[in-house]
Amino acid sequence: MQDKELKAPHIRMRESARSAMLDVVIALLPLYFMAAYFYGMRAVALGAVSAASAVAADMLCVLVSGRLPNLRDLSALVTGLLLPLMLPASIPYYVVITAAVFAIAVVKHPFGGVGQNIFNPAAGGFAFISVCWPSLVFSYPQPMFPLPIAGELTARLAESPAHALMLGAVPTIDTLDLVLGRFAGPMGVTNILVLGTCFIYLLFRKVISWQAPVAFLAAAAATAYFSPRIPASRWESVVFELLSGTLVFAGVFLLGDPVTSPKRGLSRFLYGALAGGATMLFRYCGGFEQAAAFALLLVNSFTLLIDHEAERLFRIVRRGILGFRAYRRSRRIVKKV
Amino acid sequence: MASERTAAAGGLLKRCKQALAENPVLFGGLALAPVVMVATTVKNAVALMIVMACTLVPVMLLEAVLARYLPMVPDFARMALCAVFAAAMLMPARLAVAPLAQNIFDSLGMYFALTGVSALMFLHSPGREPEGPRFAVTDAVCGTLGFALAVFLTGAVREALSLGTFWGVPLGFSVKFPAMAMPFAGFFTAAFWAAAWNSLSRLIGRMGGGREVE
Repeated sequence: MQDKELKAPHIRMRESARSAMLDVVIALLPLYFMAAYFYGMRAVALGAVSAASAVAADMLCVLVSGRLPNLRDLSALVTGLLLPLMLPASIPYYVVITAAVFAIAVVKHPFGGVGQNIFNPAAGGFAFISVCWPSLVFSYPQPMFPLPIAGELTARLAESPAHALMLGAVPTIDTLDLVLGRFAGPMGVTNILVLGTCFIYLLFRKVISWQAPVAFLAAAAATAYFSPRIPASRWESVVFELLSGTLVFAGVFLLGDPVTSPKRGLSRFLYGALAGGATMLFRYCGGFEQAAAFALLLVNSFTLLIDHEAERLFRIVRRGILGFRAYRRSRRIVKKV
Repeated sequence: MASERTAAAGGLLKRCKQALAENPVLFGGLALAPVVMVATTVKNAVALMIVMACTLVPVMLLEAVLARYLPMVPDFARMALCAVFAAAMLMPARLAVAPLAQNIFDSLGMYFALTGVSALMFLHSPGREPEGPRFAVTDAVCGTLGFALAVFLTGAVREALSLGTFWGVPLGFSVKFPAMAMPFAGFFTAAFWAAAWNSLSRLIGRMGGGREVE
């Protein structure tokens, strides 16, 4: 028998960072398909331009830092594809390019690059362009009217249901339209059914965990139920708050970012709940109708703290449970005696 | 005698180089608040430079004179005197800043006075040892130049990107980024300049064969 020297690691998993990113890209494709169905090929063109800008910015930043670009790293591609889905299909190309470059060159690389960034790059890019050009970012074309890929846009722009909620009015949209995404809104976040399918796919592929999105939506729903801001029933308030805006999209694609989210189960619950509460707080008291990205950036800064404190809380709870069990055992022994 | 003068001049030059290479704002984080909050235009930046120059040099000179010639004055009294003197120097600073623009004090807000007080922080900047009036003036001038460079670079970039102008003169940019006028943009603009300054200092240090500034 001949001895063979093998190099570590000796236990290899099929999943890797690249396969996880590839799964996210696959999950985003149906959203682009729906966006193209609603708004024409301009949606796909925006995605392509954003992705190309993000990848180019990523390569440039890596070269500036003295390393060689890793072509197997798809994180910049994912960031580039996520951004246009949170924007209207009528958004100018320079806005999308700005968001992508800002996300990579300011939010991602200065904080350490791949696997080290504190803040979600896509959320950071969206927040920056929202502050720069709110009239462009929060005005949406009507669906089922394809837009030209280039040239001047003559489409009539409208405000989303989230804007009506911000003003305290009840959106005049049929519930079926709300679920199917047949209303003016960000091009990738309106179709709840497709988003739900993407969520199931990512869960099945173990790219994201269920704790953070469920806690996020639960916290948002609870806030909408107990403190509705519109003159409608509590359940209607919950439906409108959850189905309008980027809430569900943020819960599926942004919250579950493996780099910026906590690592433990309990921490993810806390993180999701905090993000949901912060999102509703920003919606109720902030100036922008789409608040999930801003809330996520705020909560990202607490990720390490949440991991650390959740571990401590878990130990206290576990000691409490073990102590209670020991007490009950001792009582049984005393009774027998 | 001549060799003593040469040695002193060499020491002063080395001190100047060190003070510029180790920029007090970009490296030491001193007086960062005015840079981040109000250095949104070149005019604001120049106003802040004038305030710093009017307060830092006299205050450091006073502190050095008190330390050298009146050592019996206790530390707390010396600091109090420097603080009062810095506040008094804001009056000539105000006269110098007023001609820049009509609403310059509206845009500077409380940071006009805060920059004057920030001069006191330079007295206790890391690595600084009081060595007499001549070195105090050198330190003050270099500190002012370092602050001026940082605030000018930040203000110029932010004005160009947010308003598309330089000193109010349009640059012809078709795309503007209004968010660059906000404080968060001030933080990362200053951070990028700090990184660039760090790289430049290392490059110059390597080229000169001298000590690399960390």
